[in-house]
Amino acid sequence: MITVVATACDLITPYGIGLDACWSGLRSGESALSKVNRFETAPFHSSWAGVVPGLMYRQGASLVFQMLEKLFPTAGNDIPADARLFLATTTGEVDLLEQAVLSGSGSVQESGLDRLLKKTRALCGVQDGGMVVSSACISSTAAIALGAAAIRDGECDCVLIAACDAVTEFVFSGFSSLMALDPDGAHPFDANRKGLSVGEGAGWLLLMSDDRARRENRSILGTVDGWGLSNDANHMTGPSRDGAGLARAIRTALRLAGTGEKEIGFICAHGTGTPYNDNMELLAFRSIFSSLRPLFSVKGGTGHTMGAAGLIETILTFRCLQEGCVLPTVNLRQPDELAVGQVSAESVPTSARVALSTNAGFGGVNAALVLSAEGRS
Amino acid sequence: MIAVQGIGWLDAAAYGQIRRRVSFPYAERMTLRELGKSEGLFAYPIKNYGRFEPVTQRICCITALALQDAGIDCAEGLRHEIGLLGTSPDGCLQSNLNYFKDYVDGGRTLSRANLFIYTLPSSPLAEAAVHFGLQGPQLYLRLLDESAAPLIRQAAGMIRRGETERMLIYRLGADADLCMVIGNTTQPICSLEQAVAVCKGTGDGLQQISELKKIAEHYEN
Repeated sequence: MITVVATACDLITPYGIGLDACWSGLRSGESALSKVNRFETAPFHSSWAGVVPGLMYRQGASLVFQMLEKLFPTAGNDIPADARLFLATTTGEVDLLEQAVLSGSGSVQESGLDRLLKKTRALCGVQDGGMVVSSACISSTAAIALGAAAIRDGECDCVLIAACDAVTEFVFSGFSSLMALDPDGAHPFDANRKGLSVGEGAGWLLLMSDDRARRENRSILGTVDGWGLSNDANHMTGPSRDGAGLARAIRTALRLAGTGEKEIGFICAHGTGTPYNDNMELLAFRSIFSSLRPLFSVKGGTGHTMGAAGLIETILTFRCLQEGCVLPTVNLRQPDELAVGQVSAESVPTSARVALSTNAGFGGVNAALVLSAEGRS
Repeated sequence: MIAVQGIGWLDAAAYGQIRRRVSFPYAERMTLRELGKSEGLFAYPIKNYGRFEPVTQRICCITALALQDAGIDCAEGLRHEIGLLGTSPDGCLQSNLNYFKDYVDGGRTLSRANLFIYTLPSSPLAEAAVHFGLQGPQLYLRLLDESAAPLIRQAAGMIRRGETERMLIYRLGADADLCMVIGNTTQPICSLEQAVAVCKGTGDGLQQISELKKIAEHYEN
């Protein structure tokens, strides 16, 4: 079986540009959530979000394009021209649609995902036509699954996953209408959590066959061993209460990885901070694991970066495996009863070689990845 | 072998099923909105079907047609290990516009959750998954050339790897929509290679449906 390895990555989050900024920010336990000033938030249930500093809103290029533009020029020779491209997003350049509607000029077609795919392709310099992958907040996790599958099946030996989503008035007002925002900023897995905070971010991850990576003398961040995608088939906006849908995705991921649950050392959870999501995840984990595992959510620090969340969290999980450290759950004050013994406001050392990363989203979608440290397989 | 088990389709003039060789002209019918309610298309009523946006109604109709064509029973509470992969030229652009214009017209203070939930290109697939109890992977995929052929290959891979048992492939277009059921079967109506060949490139939806009908007839004969 072909081993799928991650060889290079970069990201931009509310903590700033680069993995180091995000990693050290999260490790410090400091949240990067701030009060939004790019649009009026007084009518909404919260004014908190995770925004990337220095982006220009509705003044030309879209927010996600500005983020991608900061990332790809520094990629240099990391991204081979023959990489297959998967672009994950939920709303992409929807701020261009906002501009067109509010100004009464411009074309709403400019916000189409096909346009963003063309721009991303030009920025990263790959020859492949590329494919947009969109499935609510599991978009980039699903893109990693598709990319890893293509390599494992021998269809190609190099895949670039790009992901992005932004904090716009469009998205913010929508989550507010769903009563999904925490007025005080998200505090996932906390007993008193009240909702999520929207966040923005972008990133890329290069996957390769183990053979090619070694042939090209690439450094290896870790391996993508297994993946699982499922649907609750239950409700458009709410997860199934018992976590059965996510549990099915995890079981599939473990089976494809050839990994037993006992090998999973820790979990990078979706952990949005909504009462239902976090509870659903904790129940799903209890149905899979024979004992409690350390778990964390980054969304109290970065906000919920939607379509980019899975990619950012995969990169962070690889870093956790490399550094031997389970990240703290930022903004955690008093753990939910079900989360006691699993979440911590402090980082925790680990010797784990294998980890699980999970995401879920609108429409009842669930995703799970089994990730491991270099050399484990 | 993994192959096409059933196909439902819909165009501006009619709707039908390829294995069962049936087609019903709209002239005898009313509107798409009424189709699901009065024509027995759905085994049980879809909640809020009349309020769905047209794309979601279309997806629900071709899902029902395709599942029935493949001989898959639908009943309230019944769950299937079936996933959904869909593509369309514009994704949810019209829904995005509907939501944001409504929000702006309302003074940018209140927005409607029931419009917001359709501002994802995967939302119509999600409605179908909820109603028909489809528990497999669910993704909207978009290629520059709007082709559905790569979706067929993706679906076959998911089944082969054991990620799910069957997949529904949706190709939505301005002229026609179709939904294919792909799975392990001894009674295919079309091979994967043939389906990929028909769905390659932007293509004409009506022509694709016509070609798939011819292939299915050949399989039966």
